[in-house]
Amino acid sequence: MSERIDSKAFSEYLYDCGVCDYCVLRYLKPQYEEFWDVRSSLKKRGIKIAPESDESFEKKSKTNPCIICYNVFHEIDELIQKIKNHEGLKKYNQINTFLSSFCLPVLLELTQLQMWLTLLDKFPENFDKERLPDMPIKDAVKTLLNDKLEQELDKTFDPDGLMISIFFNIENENEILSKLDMIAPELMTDRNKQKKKYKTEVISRNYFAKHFQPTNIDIKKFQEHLPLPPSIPSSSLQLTQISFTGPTVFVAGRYNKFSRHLSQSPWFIGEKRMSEGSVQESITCHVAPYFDALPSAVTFMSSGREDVDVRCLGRGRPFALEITDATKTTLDSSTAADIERKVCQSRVVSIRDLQIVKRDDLHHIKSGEEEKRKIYRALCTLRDKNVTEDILTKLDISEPFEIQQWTPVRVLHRRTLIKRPRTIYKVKAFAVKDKPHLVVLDIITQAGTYVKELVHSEFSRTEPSISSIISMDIDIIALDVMNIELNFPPTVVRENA
Amino acid sequence: MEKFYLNNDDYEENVESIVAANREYEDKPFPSVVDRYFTRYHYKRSSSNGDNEDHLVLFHSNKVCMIMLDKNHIAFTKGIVDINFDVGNCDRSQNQVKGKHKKGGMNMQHNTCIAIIKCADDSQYKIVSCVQGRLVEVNDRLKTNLSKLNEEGNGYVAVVLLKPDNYQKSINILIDDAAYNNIKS
Ligand SMILES: [Zn+2]
Repeated sequence: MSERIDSKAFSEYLYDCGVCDYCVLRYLKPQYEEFWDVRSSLKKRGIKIAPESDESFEKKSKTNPCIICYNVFHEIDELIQKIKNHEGLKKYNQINTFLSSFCLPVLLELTQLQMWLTLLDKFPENFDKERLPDMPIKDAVKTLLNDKLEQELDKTFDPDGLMISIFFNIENENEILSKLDMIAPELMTDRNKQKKKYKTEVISRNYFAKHFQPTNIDIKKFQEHLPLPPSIPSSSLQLTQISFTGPTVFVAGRYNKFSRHLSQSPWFIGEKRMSEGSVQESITCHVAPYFDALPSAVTFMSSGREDVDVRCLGRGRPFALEITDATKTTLDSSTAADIERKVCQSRVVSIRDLQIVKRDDLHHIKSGEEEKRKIYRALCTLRDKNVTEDILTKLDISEPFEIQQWTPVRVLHRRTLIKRPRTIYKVKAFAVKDKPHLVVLDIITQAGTYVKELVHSEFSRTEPSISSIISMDIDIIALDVMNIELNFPPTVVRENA
Repeated sequence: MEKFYLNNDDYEENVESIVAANREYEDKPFPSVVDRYFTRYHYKRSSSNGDNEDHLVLFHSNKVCMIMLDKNHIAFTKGIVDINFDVGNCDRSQNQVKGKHKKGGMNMQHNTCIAIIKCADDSQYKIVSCVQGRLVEVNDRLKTNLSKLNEEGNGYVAVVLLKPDNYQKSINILIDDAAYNNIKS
């Protein structure tokens, strides 16, 4: 076991090497709160801090940045002001949670290792090769940054919040890192193999952390190429970029489609647009603006889909939108009602129950597809034959039965050829006044049943079929989805609707 | 019959709502499945003695083809007594395809034999692929239902998926409906 070090003498040594106040504190097993006011924290610990006044210390530190952290800690207050006043932040003012993602130069991993090696050499009694000598820079920066951001931005930290990304750079980083090749060529071999893939960086943070440990480094060889302790940097680290990405929100609802000439998603064959508009676009174009999202940043999902020429009536089909980089995470009832009204003005699509849902709720829409029951109404024709009571009686089926259905030819170019068993739960047939060749069928099927093929049998590729049950040709003129048995999203009652 | 009429109150959407879809077929017949989804092409073929062995190709817009005998095929006059998918070195009814890309399906040239039919007079005729592509499915239900061979659509013998680059090449070998009917008359 290593002995406890005399913190006064030890910190004096660190100051002499050119280590900053924050980094000195990092080596003294600190609490995170101590970083808030680092100089008084050090004083409390009885450390003789560098004698300069704050002002001149700043000046000195500009010319002589900390040998380990390149003055990253001194940048934090300025960084926070830059974030606070950033143009890009303004549109997210309604989001009251955030998370930060900062990318420190890999070189800081190297300086931390250099200092570790130095301490192993100078204070062999007090440090060992297995245990980190300090609180890592990234942990201290992360805590300090998030605490200060919470206070200054008046937002709370939340992994699902507004993402603030911060990028730093050190001028001659690659030049210094390239020396690793000479220090430990055996540790760099894997890396150099991947180099073609990662042209821009000499080494990744993960690779460094995994391979460069005091246990597998030859200190003598190391010192031939890099100094211990690290030398005084020529410049401190630079902030290169701040960017903001809003949270991803999920909005769900149910839609009706009243047109027999509208596809669910934009329909292309090759480059050619096959039909104008789509359910997806009719909805997205009124939902996306509220979240300041481009329609292209919105992903449309639904519980199955109907063909272009099939209407979707009743309570409609459950759908969800995934909106990335949103500027809002809430949707109040009156705004939702307003969006519903706008979509309805298209006259071909209407939506209801529009609401924010959680990512976890999406499984309602995505999975269990086969268990859902779907209720259809089909208008069928017997062509030159007339409907009889016998036919209608044969098509009054309340006992579930199974059919075998080959993948229809019309989707065969993009789906696997397979014979699927499907359950038909109920069939009921109706005659139409003054149209003796027409039959209306109400059919309840297992989800995933191709209903058109169920009616006409598609050259006996679906068996049994409505056609085989009545031993007659029967064809389908029109189809409507009357209901989809899925209680998601929950029904919303609008106050003034 | 009254009890079979649809009750207007069964759904919010009334009956007229779906029956309206029939309006455009009041004075013309509702097109058949073949009319709605396929284009008819013909493949000319004749025996050495000049007998008609024409095939019909139902061409779906998604480049899936259904191959069958043309109604002018001599076999229909003679009477078909058997269809056999076990031709020469392999049984076409054992053809199996996997996945979206129909892997494992036999590669067909336009004159590759899919099945052999036998007529009442013991004569035999080959049914060929007519198009270049991948054999996806054969209709072996026909074995026990030979009368269907003469029904457009129901009598399909095989499904062949064209490869996109073979599309034009395949079309060029075939004759469209209008041209075919002109030749005949
Ligand atoms: Zn430092």
